[in-house]
This record gives sequence, structure tokens and C-alpha cells, in this order.
Amino acid sequence: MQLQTLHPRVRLVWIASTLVSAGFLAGFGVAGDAFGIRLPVGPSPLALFGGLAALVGLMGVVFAVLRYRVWGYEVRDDSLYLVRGVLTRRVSSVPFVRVQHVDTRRGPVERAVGLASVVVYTAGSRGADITVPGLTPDRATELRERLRELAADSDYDAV
Amino acid sequence: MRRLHPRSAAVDAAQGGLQLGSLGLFGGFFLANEASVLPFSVALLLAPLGFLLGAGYQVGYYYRFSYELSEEELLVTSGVVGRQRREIPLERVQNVDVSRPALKRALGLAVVRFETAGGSSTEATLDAVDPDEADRLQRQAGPEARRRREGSAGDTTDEASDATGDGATAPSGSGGSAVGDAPAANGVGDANPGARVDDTEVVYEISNHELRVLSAVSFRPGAFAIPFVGIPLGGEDLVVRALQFVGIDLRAGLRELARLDPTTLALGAVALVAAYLLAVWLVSVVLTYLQYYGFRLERTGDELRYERGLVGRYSGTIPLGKVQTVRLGENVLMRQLGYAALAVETAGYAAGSGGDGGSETTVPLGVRGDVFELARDVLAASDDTGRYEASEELRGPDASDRFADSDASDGFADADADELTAAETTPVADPAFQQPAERARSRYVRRYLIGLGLVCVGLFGASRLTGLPTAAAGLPALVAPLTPLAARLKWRHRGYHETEWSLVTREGFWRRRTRIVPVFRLQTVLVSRTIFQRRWTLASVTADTASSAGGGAVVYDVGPEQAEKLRVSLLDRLDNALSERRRAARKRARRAAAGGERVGPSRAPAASDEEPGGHAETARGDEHREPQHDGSDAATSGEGRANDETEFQWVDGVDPDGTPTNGHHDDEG
Repeated sequence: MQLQTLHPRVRLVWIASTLVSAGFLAGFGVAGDAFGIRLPVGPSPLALFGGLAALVGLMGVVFAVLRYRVWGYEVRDDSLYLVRGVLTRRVSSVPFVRVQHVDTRRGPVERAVGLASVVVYTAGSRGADITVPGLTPDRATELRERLRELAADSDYDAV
Repeated sequence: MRRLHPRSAAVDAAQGGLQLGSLGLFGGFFLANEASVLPFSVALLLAPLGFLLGAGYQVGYYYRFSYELSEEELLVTSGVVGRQRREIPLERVQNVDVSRPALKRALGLAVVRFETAGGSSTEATLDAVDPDEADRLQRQAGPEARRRREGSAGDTTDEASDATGDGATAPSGSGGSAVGDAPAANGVGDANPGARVDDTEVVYEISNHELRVLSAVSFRPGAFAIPFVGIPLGGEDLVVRALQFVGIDLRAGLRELARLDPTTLALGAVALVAAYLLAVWLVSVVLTYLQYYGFRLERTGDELRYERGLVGRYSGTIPLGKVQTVRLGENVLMRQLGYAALAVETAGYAAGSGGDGGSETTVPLGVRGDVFELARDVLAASDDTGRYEASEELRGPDASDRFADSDASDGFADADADELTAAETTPVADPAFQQPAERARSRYVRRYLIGLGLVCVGLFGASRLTGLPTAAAGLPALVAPLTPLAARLKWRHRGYHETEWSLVTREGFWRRRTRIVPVFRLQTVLVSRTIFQRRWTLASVTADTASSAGGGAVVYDVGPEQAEKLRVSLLDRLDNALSERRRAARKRARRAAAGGERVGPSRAPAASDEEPGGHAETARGDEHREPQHDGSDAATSGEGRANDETEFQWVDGVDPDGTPTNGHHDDEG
């Protein structure tokens, strides 16, 4: 099995999530402007927060594109192999023996674009929940079932 | 069913009553006077009403709280309004802690906490019971329950049938024999601590000398804040006077400070810092002394139990079969004096709830050789396949130290001699430990320099805003020549060592921590490369376990190829170790089955449920606040066993991650 890439539309999900924070920032700016608040120095709140919002939005888009390019996963013989991370590149291996349980999850944005995520839980202390985003619902179900079977096969020492 | 101690109920009731009562008092005054919503006479009633309510709730809590420790499980029923019934199978219990803080101790009470691997908080808290009862619980839930389980496996009463968890019949069979071999189990003569368990041996007991050394050398980060706590209590005056003494009048304000001549200012600053550090140290000494007074570690069968404390008494158990990671700690002073500390990490503690942030100190301070000896014993006992060999994995930290020869009593002192001289002539070379890549040192230098630069910039900004002389901003630059030394020390004390059985990592100059992670405990393996690391083509490998101390063992700053190799080999060895454990478990199950007892249909390897690490479902308990019901547990494992007889898909020796995976990300470094 080759390194699987995510569905391209996952970028929309990521962008949407940063747009929410950007929207909040812009909201602050608009509100500040509406109430006529002025900072002692520097630009008007609208310009300041508008600029910040634009920056966050832009970064969000750039990161979404980069993250999509980096993300990859692979169901190997005995472990789930994942590559991810824009600033910090992380390669993790989750042995099936250690999988506690597997969920599929569909957030509102994910549903809107017709995608789903699979969440793999381990008992580990760091990165105990590993999310594989950007899967079509069918693929997510399939991955979940596959992981569940593999985990069940090797069910021995979870901790 | 048992109840908590009535005295504790009385105390809680008084406390709860006072809390709500005072709330009623102040709330009543507010409503009557400030808000004038209520007539004064009604408002006056709020205080007693609050008291009754608060006290009543606590009394209700007492009457609605009951617990029962049976041979298989702890059953706790609680809740005044919403009822909760929680069953915790004893084999899932990781630690049982008994704490008697000063007040509880004065009242003759003890708080018992049961920790399991699941959940984000303590699984069951009995607050509070009689100290003797606490003792009984700790003993009965720990070594005695375990011995019973082992006993029933040993005399072929078939572990497997036990583990199928089909309720009353099988356990009662084995239970009968258990009562036979552990008469103390039913808590007859609880009051006498000496008589209860026959094979308890004291592994370690802190001597007065060690306690004094420990107090002097240990360094508690928390103590830094404490001098500040003292300030509101009149300490403020003292500080101001002390400053006046050296010529600084704090009341004159910062402006005044700027106008003082530099020498006075510098002297004042030095004196202030010195006084502060002294205060921190004294606080640290006192706290450490109180905490570790009378520290004592005993071993009962396959369980360790510690006891400590001068004012409050604390004790806890650590089942050896549940050890996730062993951590040796030596701060710089301890290293010089030839001492070390030992902590054992289990999956039991919710972060910060107990012990030392998720781990239990098993030896606060001991002669290094003895501590390593104990670490080896603990590790050997933690693996029930007996694969652990007293390999050279622990020799590394010893050999690199100057005082390694001071503990000539321990077995490997001779072997160290050669390595020691080698280590002295080429101080960088550490025979057993592999340091980070050479270029990591340059990276650390650069990092420190950037840090210093940032501090300079910050000070410069501050000097602009306040009246401080601008020259002060340059002060941190004076430390810059030391950065290569600091980088070298950091580099030198970081490293890792691989053995067939474990991964050993080490880090930290001021407080060096050596973690030994048994390979069969690995949860996930993570190779990470920050953008800075990619600039230097470096990578870090984190070997994560279920230890609730968190963090995992990290191999810092090795080359990417080496990191990848390490990742693959760790997974490989995990695989091998687990197959071996599985084989051992199967053998046990088969032997048990041959004993003639019935085994649950299609569930031959069910004995694995009995394994120390055999959490099928409970380890991630956030999702299931009460994951320990027999039923749910059996359900998950049952599901997994549906295709029992098919061989496991991955066979020993098959390279699990054969494909090299570098190409994918290297080009972006």
C-alpha cells in the first residue's frame, strides 16, 4: 500500500476553521469601530484587526495547502503510519496492538463538503488520539473497520 | 457494604455547612443592604439555611456513599441526587494511595485513592476512612488480590476461566483456595502492621544522613514562588528594610533607582538575588525534609509500597507488573556526591493528581550503585516473560561519571574501570550512550545566542519605557562566551542507548533524567523534525508509553536516517517482544487448560486478560467514565477473539516497516 493522500477538499475544511478565527478578529475590529474605540497609538481598530484577520486568513490558506501536501497515511502490516505537520514534520507509527478504539467523526464543515475523519485512540500519553482527516465517508468507514479488525486481531497488550 | 468514617462525615458536614452558611450570610447582607431586595429579617435566615443545606448535603453524601472490597473488585456506590455505581476490577487497579495530610492525620483519618489506567482523574476516592481500614484496603486490593490470582493460576485452577469473567462460579472456586493461602485477606489482625504479610521486605529506608543530603541538594522549582507568598504576611517590610540596608529605598520608586550610582545598584541587585536564592533554598530544604522524612520502600511479592512524610503521612503502591518506565534522576549536586534518585512511572495517575507529576518516587536519594541495582530489579520484575537480562543498559550512566568508582561495592565497578579512564581522557566519549549528532551542538550554541539576543532586545525596550540605563540591555551579552560550554553540556548529557529489551534515553545537565523504557511497553513511535531541526537535518524520536507522567522518552537530534532506523527497529522489537509475551501467555493458558478445568469456548488465549498490561478497553477511559464493568470489558475482548485460531497476521521476523520513507519529506527540508 502506497502512502495515501487525503481528499483535496480537506483543504476547505482547514481553511474554514481558520476563517472562523479570522472572522472573530474582523468582528472585534468592526465592533471596536462601531463603538468608536481608539487606541492611544497606532491604527484604528478596524484597520488593525482587519489586517490581522486578513493575515490569519492568508496564513490559514497557505498552511492548508502545505498541510495537504504533507499529509499522508498508510495502513501497514502491523501499524498505522502517518506523515504530517507543516512546521514540525511528524512521522508516527501506531502499532495496531496499541489501538484502543477507533471512531469516525463528521463535523459540520466536514459534512458540508462531504468528508469524514477517523480518530484512532491509544493509551499513550502523548498524541494519544490520532485523527486522520479528509476521508470520504466510505473510505472513513472502510478505514475504521479495517483498523478495528487489525486491532482486534492483535488484541493483547493495550497498555 | 461499608461506610466512610463518621468522623470524616462530621468534619465534612461542618465544612460544607460553614461554606454555604457564610455564603448565605454575605449573600443575605448584600441582598438586604446593597440591593435591598429582601427584608433584613428574611436575609438573616439565609445564613442558618445555608449552613443546614451545606451540612445536610454532606450528611446525605455520607449516608449515600458506600463501598465494598470483594476478592475481585471494588464496588463504590455514591451520589446524593444522581446515583453512581462503579465497579473496579482489582486486576485493573494500578496504584492504591493512602494519604493522611496533617489535619486528617490529627483526626485519625486517611484518604484512599484507587488509580486505574483509564480516565482523566482518580478512579475512586474514599475520603476518608480509618487508617487501619485504609491499610487493609491497600493490602487487600494489591498484593493479596494479585497473589490470589496467581495462586489460582499456579495450582492449575485455571487462570483462563477466571479471566472469562463469567461471574460467580469460577471466581468462587478459586476464591476458596485463596482464602486458604492468604488468611490475612479477611482482615483479622489489622492493627499490627508487622504480622500481616509474611514476605514483606524493606528494600530501602532513608537514613538521617541521606535525608539531610537530600534536603540540601534537592531543588524544588515550586520553592521559587514561596518567598513571594511570604511577602503579604509582613515579609514586604523585611525586603524593603533589606534594600534600605544596602542603600536602596524602594519607596522612592524606580526613578530614584535609576539615579543611584551603578555600583550601589549592582551590589543591591546581587544582595537581593542572593537573599532570594537563600530563601528559596531554605524553603526547599524544609519542604523536602517534611516530604521525605521517614521514607521507606517495601516489597511484598510483586508490589512495591512506599511510605513517607513527617507532618502528613503518605503511602502508595506500585505493582511491578504495571511499570511503564523507570526514571533515574540525578541533579548536578547528586552526581558530584555519587547519589541518584529513582522514580517509577505507571499508567495510573491522572497528571498532577498524585506523586511527582504522574510518577512515584521510589527512592528519593540513594548511593548510585544501589539505586541502579534497584532499577534493574524493578525492570526485571516488570516483565513476566523473564526476558529481562541484567544487560549493560544501566552501565552507561554510571560509566560516564567521575564518581562511578566510589560505589565499588556494586557488581559492575570493575567493568567500568576501563571505560572510566576512557571517559576521562576523552570526556566527550560516552561508551554506552550515543550522543546527538555533532552538529546539534552548533545548533544549541545558536539557540542560546538567539535567546540571549532576545533578552537583550527585551531589556532594551524596557530601558526605553522605564528609566533604566540603556547599558543594562547589554548585560546578557556578557554571558555569550559561556554558550559553547552550555551547549556542550546539554549535548553531552543528551543521548540514548538501545538494547534488545529496552530503550534508554537521557537528558538534562542540571537535572539529568535517564529513562528506561521496556520495548514491550511502547505505544507509538514518533519521529519529528521542527523547521529548525530540518535546517540542520536533524530529527527527534519519541518513544511513547502509557505512562501517565507523560512526555515519553525522547531521543534528541539524531540524523534523519538514524531516526528512521530507530523507529523501524523499535517497532520491530515491540513486535518480537509482544509475540513472545503472547506465546508465553498461550503456554500458560494451555497449561491451565490441561489442568482439566473448563475454558471459555473459543477463548483460549483469554489468559491474556490476566496479564498486567491487559487492558482491552479501559485504558482510554475519558470516553467511558465507567469503563470497568465486567460486561463491557468482556464484550470488547470477546469481539477481538472471534477469530481466535487464525494466526496473527504479522509473523515474527517480518519487517513491519520495510519501505524507506525518507524521500517523501527530505526534499522539503
